[in-house]
Formats: sequence, structure tokens, C-alpha cells
Amino acid sequence: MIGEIEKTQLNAAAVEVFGMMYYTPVELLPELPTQESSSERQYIKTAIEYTGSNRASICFYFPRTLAVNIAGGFLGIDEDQISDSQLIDTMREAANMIIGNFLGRIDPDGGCTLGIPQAEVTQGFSPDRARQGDELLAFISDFGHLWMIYNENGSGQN
Amino acid sequence: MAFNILVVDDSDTMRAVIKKTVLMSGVQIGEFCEACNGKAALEILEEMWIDVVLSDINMPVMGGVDFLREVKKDAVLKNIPVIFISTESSQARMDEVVSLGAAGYVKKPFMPAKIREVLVDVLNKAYATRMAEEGSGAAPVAEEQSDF
Ligand SMILES: [Mg+2]
Repeated sequence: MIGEIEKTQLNAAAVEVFGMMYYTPVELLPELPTQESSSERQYIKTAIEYTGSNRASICFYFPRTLAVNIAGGFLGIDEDQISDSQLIDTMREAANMIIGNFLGRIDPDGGCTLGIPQAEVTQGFSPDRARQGDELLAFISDFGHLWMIYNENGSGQN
Repeated sequence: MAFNILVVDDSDTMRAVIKKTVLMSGVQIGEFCEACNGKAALEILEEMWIDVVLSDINMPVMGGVDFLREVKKDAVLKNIPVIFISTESSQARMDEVVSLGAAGYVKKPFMPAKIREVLVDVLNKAYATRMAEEGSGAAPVAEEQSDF
């Protein structure tokens, strides 16, 4: 189970990364939404883990429209000219920054090592992807819900 | 005086953003080089003169800390300033890279002005050192810029 302190720090990390790098607000929802806020069909699934004095695997599902918006702003190119590989690269870096920032808050002694993020474009997202032992979290953004599956055993491949 | 700059990061988009930031910083740029990991960066350093390296830490093949260790082992390369731009923001990690000889540290996410501040500071020190060795006076690295 992810504790309330970790949730608060995770939210602070996501807010800082999205606000400072992408000028896009996000906010961790206190409760899971009962239905998707948009008809999003594609997500950029991005997995990252950390190991060491603590360990966890995290899998983000970034709505494609959110990814297109931030990659377009980040790279300064038209949204219809962004390739899947640019989306994947941008979201890998976003996940890297969020979890790196999170670790900076909960692990000041640097006992954890961040892994290399992996990402792919995937069709749809269902909360059923979270399995036993996983914690499902959702952030609200201007471009739909950003989902996150957290597994403190570091074993998740959702 | 123009400076040759090497940016090392496994993210293409992050390298593009850092490049844009550096080009807007007011620092005069000679060659602008890019590498996607520490090993590729060492190959560039062996081939051409670089004045300052801006490097990520978390990269496949060879990460930024191992890259810095290799640079510091080399009698010729060891004086090239290496600035880290990294998401790894624990005080312990920052202390580690400073003790290994990093010239500066910028946390990701960053404001462009922070990169400019650290880059100009590091280049001014490097330039002053070089000028002192050559026996002439130092000049500022960057003119005033208000793009940030
Ligand atoms: Mg990286």
C-alpha cells in the first residue's frame, strides 16, 4: 500500500514536473473516477522502477492527447507533426522526472536507484489492469485522466 | 570567444530542449554536439575539443556518474567542466557528484534561467582559469540576454 505521505509527495512531484516543464496542470484525485473523462483510445504506457533501500515499479498511462499537447509544447512543433517515437521519448522523460523528483522527496539519502523507463503506445486503459498488490491512482489533467499503477514489490508489468 | 558544448542525455526531446535553452542563453556557441550516453560522449571528447559538458545521470550503456569518473581519470579530459542536469535530486547524490568533481548541478525539472546561470558561472570560471594560465585578462562569457 502506498501511504498518504507518499501520495502527497507523488502529487507534489507530478505537479512540479508538469507545471515547470510542460505548463500543464495535473492533480492527484483523492478517489478514483468512476468513468473516463474523455473518449481516449490510445495511451502512452510508461514503466519505470526504482530499487535499493526501497523498491517499487510504476506504470503510467498517459492519454495520447495529453502526450501530444506536452510534446508539441516541449519541442515547439505542430501537434500533427509529432511522431509516436517523439511521444514515447517525451513521456519516458516525464516518468523519469516525476519518479526522480518523488525519490528526491522521500529518499533524501539517495538509497534508491532509478531504472531506465520503457514506453509504448497502447490501445485503451481499463482499471482492471491493476492486479492484486497494485495500487491504482488517477490524476486529472486538461486532457483526460492520467492513470498510474504502483506496485511496491517492484514486480508489476501491467 | 565561442565555446564548444556537448549535451549528453538519452532523451532526444530533452537534448532538443537543452539545446534551445543554451542557444537562447547569450553564451557564444562554437560547435554544439550531442550524445545519448556516457560512452558516446567519451568518443566525442576523444575527437574534438569541448569546453563544457551538460550531462544527464540516468542513461543506459553508461550513466553520467560513470562518465564523470572516466573523464576525471584522463589527464587531458579531466579539466573539462561537467555540469549535471538530472532528475536525481537527493542531497546524497548531489554530494556524490560534487565530490567526484562535477562543476555544477541543475535539477530536472528546470527553469531555463537556471541552466543559463550555472552554465555562465562555470564557463566564467573555466575561462578565467585558462586566461590566468595563458597570462591574459578574463572577459565575461555571456552578454546580457532577456529571453527568459
Ligand atoms: Mg535520462
